[in-house]
Amino acid sequence: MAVCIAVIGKENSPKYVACLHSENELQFHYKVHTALDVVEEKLSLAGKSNCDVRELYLGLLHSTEEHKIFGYVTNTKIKFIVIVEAANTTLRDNEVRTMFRRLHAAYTDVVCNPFYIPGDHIVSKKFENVVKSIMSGNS
Amino acid sequence: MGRVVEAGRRAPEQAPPNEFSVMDAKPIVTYAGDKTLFSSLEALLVQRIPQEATEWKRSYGRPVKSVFTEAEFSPFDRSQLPKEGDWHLIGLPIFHTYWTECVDVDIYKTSVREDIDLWLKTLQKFGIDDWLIVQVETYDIKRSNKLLPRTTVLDKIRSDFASKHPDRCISVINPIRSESKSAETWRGLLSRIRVLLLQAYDTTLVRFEETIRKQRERRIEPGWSFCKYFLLQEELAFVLEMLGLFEEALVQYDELDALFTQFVLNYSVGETPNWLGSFQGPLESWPGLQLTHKVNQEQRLLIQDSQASLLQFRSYLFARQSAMLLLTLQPWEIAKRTLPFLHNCIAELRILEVTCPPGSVACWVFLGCLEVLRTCEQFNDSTQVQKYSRFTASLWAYASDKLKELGELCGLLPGMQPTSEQLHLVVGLSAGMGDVPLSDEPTPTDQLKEALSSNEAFKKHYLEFAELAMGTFKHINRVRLARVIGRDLAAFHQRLGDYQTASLFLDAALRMLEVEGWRSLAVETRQELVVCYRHTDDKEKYVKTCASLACSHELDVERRMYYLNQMVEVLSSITTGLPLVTQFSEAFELLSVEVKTDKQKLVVGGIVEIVVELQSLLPRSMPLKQAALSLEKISKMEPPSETADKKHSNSSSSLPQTEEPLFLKRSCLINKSPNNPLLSRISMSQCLDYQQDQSLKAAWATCRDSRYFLRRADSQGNHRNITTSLQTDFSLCASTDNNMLEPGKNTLVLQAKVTEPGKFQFGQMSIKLCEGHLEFLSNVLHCGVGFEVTSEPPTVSLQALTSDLLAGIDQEVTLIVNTGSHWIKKDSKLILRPTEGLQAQLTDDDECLLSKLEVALPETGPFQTTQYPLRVLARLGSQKDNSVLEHKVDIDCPWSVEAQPAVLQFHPPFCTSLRLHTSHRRKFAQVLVTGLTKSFLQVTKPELRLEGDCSSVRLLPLNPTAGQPLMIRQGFNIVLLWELEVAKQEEEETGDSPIQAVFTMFYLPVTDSHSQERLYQCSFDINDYRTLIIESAKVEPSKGSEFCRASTMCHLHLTVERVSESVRSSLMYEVLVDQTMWAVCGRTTGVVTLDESHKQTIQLDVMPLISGYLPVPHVRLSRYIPADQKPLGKAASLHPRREPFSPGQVFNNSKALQVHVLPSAPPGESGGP
Repeated sequence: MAVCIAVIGKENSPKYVACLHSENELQFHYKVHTALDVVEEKLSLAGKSNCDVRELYLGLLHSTEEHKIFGYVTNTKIKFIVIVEAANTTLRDNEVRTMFRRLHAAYTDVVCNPFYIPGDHIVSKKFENVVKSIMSGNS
Repeated sequence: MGRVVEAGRRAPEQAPPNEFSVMDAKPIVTYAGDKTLFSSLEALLVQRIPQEATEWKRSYGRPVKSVFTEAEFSPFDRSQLPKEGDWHLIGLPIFHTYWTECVDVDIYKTSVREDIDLWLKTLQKFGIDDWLIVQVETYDIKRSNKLLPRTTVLDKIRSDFASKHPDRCISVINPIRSESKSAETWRGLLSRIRVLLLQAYDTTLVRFEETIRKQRERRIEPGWSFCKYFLLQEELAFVLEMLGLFEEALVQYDELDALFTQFVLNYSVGETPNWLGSFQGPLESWPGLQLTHKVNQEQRLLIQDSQASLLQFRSYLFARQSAMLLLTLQPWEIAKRTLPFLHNCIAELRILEVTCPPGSVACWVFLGCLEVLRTCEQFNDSTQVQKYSRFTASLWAYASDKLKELGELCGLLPGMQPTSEQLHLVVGLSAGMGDVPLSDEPTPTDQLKEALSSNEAFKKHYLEFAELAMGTFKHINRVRLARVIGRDLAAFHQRLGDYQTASLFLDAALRMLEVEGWRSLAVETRQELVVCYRHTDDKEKYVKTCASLACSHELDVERRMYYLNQMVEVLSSITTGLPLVTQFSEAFELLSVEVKTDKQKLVVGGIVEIVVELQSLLPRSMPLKQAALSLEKISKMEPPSETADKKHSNSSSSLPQTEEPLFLKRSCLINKSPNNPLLSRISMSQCLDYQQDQSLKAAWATCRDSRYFLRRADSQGNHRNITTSLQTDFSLCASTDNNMLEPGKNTLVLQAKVTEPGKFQFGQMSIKLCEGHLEFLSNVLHCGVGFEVTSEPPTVSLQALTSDLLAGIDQEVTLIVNTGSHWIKKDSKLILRPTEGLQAQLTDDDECLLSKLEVALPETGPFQTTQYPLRVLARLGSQKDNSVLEHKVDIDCPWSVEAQPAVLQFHPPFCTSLRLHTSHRRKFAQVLVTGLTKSFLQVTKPELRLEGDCSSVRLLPLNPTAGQPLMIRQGFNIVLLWELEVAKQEEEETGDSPIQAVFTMFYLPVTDSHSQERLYQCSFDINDYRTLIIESAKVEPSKGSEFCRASTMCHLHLTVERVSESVRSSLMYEVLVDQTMWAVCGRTTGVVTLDESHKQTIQLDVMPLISGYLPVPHVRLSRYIPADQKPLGKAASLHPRREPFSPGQVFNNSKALQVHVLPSAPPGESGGP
């Protein structure tokens, strides 16, 4: 379902980026990177208005003719970015939320690994499998 | 439809005929009855109806709205009444009024009633219940005064027509005739009209909505057409808009939008209603959006005829939505909706498989963006710029994107020459856009046509849009998006050949990517940047970027090699003298640094070896010109002030104080990532808090630098520090030259010669490649690694081999020369200058002992200790006690001006003393040789001689001449005895003069076979070697007693005998008794004079206090000098004095004599004889 899934660190550096098709991976990198602008904007607005801080899902960040970019941010300011194809009209908001929730759970498992140093790039087969299954749409 | 065309005709003159404004339409109210009367009142009504708002109460519990109604009056016309199924509501009369002036009941009955009846019947025929009958009265003062009014015309009308709806008949006073009285009735009429008018709308709309719903429910039927339905529901929106309910009108449009979208989506899953086919025809025109308040009649007609293309339909719908948004003063909402709208349209075109000529959609999108932007700008409010910009920025970006797409398509990009095909394409696209009416400002269509007209115009427009987009993004802090546009611009500038500008854009992008750690994007950008640098001939940057690219593992090896070769090639063409400095971290990773040289060898002038491990990221091995590590000298720091600890002094907290000495690690691994505080050990320490009475108040564990551990853990990690490092001082550095650097791990051994003492820590690392033309300079390491160079002065000391040195015997000491941190040159000499009495010589040397010794030193390295054994001999003088001899040795060193002192202490091996013993008149000299050594010494030939002229005295040795050898040691003494024979004195006067005796002997250490016998000499003075007086004391029992008894008086007989003539004076005696034993009765002291007689006896009474063998009381004799005896009186001479005798002058015969005292006699016996 998703074509690109990325985990971005607190200081906006990429910790994990996976694309369904590797041919124009850099384009997805750019898309993820620019989406951070909107994430930051939303976060700063959320800070001001002091609204529901428990809501981690940021919704649609940005859309292009081909893609829709969704965001999610953990309490520790780790950002998850999911890019889906705009043509995929069957995808509902709820399904995107489910993807993020699964991703968050997988990320939590990665961080719980005592051998993982927070802030490092994520290298984990388990995490990779979760990401792959999200991208293929097998939930 | 004809109705609407009519409505269009009613639009203001200046508007084009194909537009009409719903806002200009007003609810139509018909009038019937007395037309002249009405026309006199019409103007007033039209003016006053909209002046007040009325609450519109609607059915189905919809929220009550406050509505300002307007009204337009038209004469009642039967033909204009709405027919069943005609729902063009804004053109139809909605409310009907009947006006009469009749006040006379009779006239009413004859004519008016019939007329009203006919009117109402007509209305009922059309099913219309919304009417009002107005009776206009002229104010009649007479009538109003009447007490009982007769039945009025109004009552009649009510009873005839409005028995069910009494509110539909109203009587007013004609305001034209008598304004003052009419106001109240008039106000009642107006509000009645407003309420009834809205009520009429409510009933109509309820019916209409029902119709719409029915229509919608039929949407799956084959003959149903969305276009028809759209127009139907739009009528509802028109009415709502007319009534000023723009939000509700928008809801209608949004509903339609959603419905259409759903149809299209359903198409993608296979549902294809017939009507949808009309939208699937190939795209023939793509005129841009036109956002106005007005309804585009032309487009609406097309929709009605099912001839509108998808884009036309969508444009119309969006324009209507925008109009509503503008009317609700939310222009930014338009901007917000634009992008999803455009994306959605493109998606729908794709879903419906509409054939679009190349570029047509781009044109349409571009025009749409621009139209929205233009509209937003028109309604721009400076307070809402931020709000707008968030949406407009991406529109600018989208527009410039599309323009670029078109430019590419039409061959308008710089460096392209449009082919004839492309020119045709431009013509076709321009035609598809259609024409727009001329206006003062250039419309988006004009702009696009101009941009597509030539390369130059295209460039101008593209740059304008892109820069606007970038600026707006920057303005709303979407820097990343701005940078992406910057990259597009860079690419465009590259095409233009303006590599300088392109590199600026790329550099900005690169910096941000590097800061945020997007390596792969950074590498990509760098690759583009390097092209720019090559064209701008910026060799320095070119080389630096090449170096960085060559070390980027994201690239494949061939590319890296290419960049490396480029780097080397271009570098050789740079001719400046200074090396090109670039970041160390681009190409190398420092892994570890270690000081190899031993701590001891780190001396001034010495060489330090430092081992550096580094990882080379270069793709192939490179010759290393020089690698250097700068050394920073650490200046001594002030000790930290104590103020911080003062706070705790009251509670006497025992926080362990760790003064942090400037400790330098000797090696360290250099981590690329900063230390992760989560993984380091927390230093906990115990804390005790005592109260004033020293009892424990609290105990806790504390983490001293909790700040470090508790600070927010950054999860970033692997960022590269982009701080540009300045070259620090490399005048002090460790370096190595001419090595090879292999890809991967390298170990370099750097050397440095240190010329001054102090602590040094490592500063920057520098690596020079390519004949020193390229220098990689690291950041300052700050890891506290370094070494200390010491400067220790050489020391010289003398050390005794044994714990105690003995005087008078050859002793061994060691001269210890420690070179410290210095070198000792060849032919250096040490000169030892001991104090008088001490001699020294090297043990190896058989020469005699010298009082000034020179020691030649060989060449020695630093931190070497050399020992020279020495023989020393301290002269042994007359040693009468065991006092220590101290000798100082001044050592002249070649490296210092001042002599270094060394102190040696010598213990005497023995000491000698002389004592004179007396036995009556005979005298004996006893010499005691006390051994003080631990080992035996043999003494030979002891001899006591008298010195000088002393004929009256002679010494007779009483020592055995043979026998066992005399040995001394600690605890082994020798006693030697001589009798001192004193000749009978002839000259009494000289007898008292002291004589001098010299004791000599030879001694020899028993253990040491080599040493020879040494002579010991000691002189003594012998005084008072003559006995002057012999005294004796005796205790006898009193007369009649046989024994001495305790508590019984006894007699002490004291006999004093003069044996020398020299004693002439009186003698004083004192009886000194132990008061626990003896009690002296009477005088204890007295004076005796021995004038002529040689002997005198004194009897004293004493009483023993206890029984037993008691020592005889001691009597002390001393010379008595009377007070007036000496004429040369001093203060003392006024009193008599006593002068003690020297020992040996008085011989006590009864010394140590005891007397046996019996216990006191029993009482019975005491009185006995």
